[in-house]
Amino acid sequence: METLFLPFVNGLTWAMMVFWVASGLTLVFGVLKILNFAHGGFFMLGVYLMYTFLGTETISPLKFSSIVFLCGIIMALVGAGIERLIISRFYHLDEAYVLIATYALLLIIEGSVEGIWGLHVLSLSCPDGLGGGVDILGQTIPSYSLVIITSGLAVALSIYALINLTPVGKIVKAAAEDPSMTSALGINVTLIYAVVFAFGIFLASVAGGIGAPNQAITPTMASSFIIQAFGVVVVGGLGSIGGAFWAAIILGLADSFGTTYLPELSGIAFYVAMILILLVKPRGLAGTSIFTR
Amino acid sequence: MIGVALFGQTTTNHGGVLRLSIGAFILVLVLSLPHWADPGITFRASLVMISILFATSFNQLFHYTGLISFGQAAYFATGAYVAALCFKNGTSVFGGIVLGVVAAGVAAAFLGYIALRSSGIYFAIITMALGQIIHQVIYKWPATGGDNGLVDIPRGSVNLWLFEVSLESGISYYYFVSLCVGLGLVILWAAGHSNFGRILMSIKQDRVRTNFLGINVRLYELISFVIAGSTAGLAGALYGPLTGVLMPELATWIYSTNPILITLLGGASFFWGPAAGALFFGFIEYFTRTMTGFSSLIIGLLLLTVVLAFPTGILGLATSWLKRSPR
Repeated sequence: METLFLPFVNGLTWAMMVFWVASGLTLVFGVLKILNFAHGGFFMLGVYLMYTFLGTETISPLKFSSIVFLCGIIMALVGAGIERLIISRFYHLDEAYVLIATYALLLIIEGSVEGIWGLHVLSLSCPDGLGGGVDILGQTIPSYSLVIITSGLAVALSIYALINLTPVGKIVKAAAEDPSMTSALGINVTLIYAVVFAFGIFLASVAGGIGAPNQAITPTMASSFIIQAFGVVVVGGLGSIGGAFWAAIILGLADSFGTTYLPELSGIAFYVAMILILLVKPRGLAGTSIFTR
Repeated sequence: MIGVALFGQTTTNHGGVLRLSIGAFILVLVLSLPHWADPGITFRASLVMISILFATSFNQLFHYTGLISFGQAAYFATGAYVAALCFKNGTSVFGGIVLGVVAAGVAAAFLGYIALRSSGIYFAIITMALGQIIHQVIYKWPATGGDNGLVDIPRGSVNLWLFEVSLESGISYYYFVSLCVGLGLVILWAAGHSNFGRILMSIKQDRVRTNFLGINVRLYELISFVIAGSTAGLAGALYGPLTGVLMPELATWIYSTNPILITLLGGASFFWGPAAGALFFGFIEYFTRTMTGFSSLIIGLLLLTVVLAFPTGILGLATSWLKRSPR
């Protein structure tokens, strides 16, 4: 039991972090049909923005979460601007060229981060009182992991409710399915695209902000994170948020149990699990996405 | 190089004369380079040669077959590591290179079979993930030096009929690299311009109709993937002895984006596009070598400009400029 519980919590923590990034990624793909390499870059910018506001200070959880939210709003505005200025020029391109163009955007973000904050590793401290551990079932679990897991589940539920239970969600689904028809009904699809992109960036930035105390902050974190998010999105089925949720959990647990029981294979378990799933289901777990195409 | 003869052969109009003269000029430049450039430049020229082969092998997949792979660095690294381990254990230069190329080809056949079950973006992401597995294997396996990399890779010597030529000097290794790269390019050129290449082109244009013609689409795609993988392996096999050091990072997807970048820069729809791109990229790397951090910014901006404003690349710009200007 003890040997099962800790890897379970670690896997779930990782899964929630990646799900945040992946949910924005898959939402943007579902609506804008763009698989965005730069999404990892926005996640990283969220982390660095957090660092700029906080430095090495330890603050109360309330203050911490309001700064995370503030960073998310700033990044969402930046994201809306970038969608209008740059991403909107990608819509007519071939999908291979889109991948490359967004990779170029990631390089630009990485270069800027290196230029502004430097190459050295930075770190953030946990909010006041959350840096310790909690005893559950005779095991000491880092309390910050529990914060990430619960807020991750809350975000997952909110996105689900937002897409499926609100009028805005219906409009977004409609825009994903048939942009020209939606536009003919008098809905400003251009605006929807910008809002969806900005919302995806908001999620990535918030993930970065909340997850920041848990990781080493370097300019290479964007590229190592985006490939994991890509894995989750593809295994879940491109465009499916529910699929991304389950994919994040399956891959997170596979990686964490793989690392615990076969340490010599750490880092490989994630990719092996990903490829095994895609061999059985080449289009991902959600055969049909929540945006039925 | 040997490819020059092929370079001018495709047209008989006055454009052919231009191509032939450009080809002759490049051949003279390549052959004379070590005699007027300093050793540092010769070293960089050898690196550019290797990138030319690596990027052209990627473009064989991208332009001719319409597959975008984000995992080519894995086959480059497989060729590099297998060849380097052979050289370190005293095999001949020829033996090491052949084993490196075969290993890369086998890896490409095995992993390509898995990746080709999907297409489009899924194919891109799966090649990326498979490449990361090869990276992790190199990183974890004690024989490959793991995180510390593989060092002191010897260059050895080649046996030319009666006498041995040592490849230890920068100049002799430069000529050796040029010869091997030329050979690799001839193979890729011949594959692309044969019936095989035409079938690949028709697969790129319409998979379903090509299938209706009785062609096993996936088999042809797999052969194309194996050719690209093994020529990437050849580039890798030449790379190890040149720098003397191999690091596991060579296999990561980040390194896989290099040939993509170079190909788009030069012009993906031209056989010589990746070569032009690699040369241009070599110059950028040379002039930004002292600016840490700015190089990725510059490369990113450049790539974005190319994709949005000049999707036909350097050669595309050059040909449209030549067509427009009066002769």
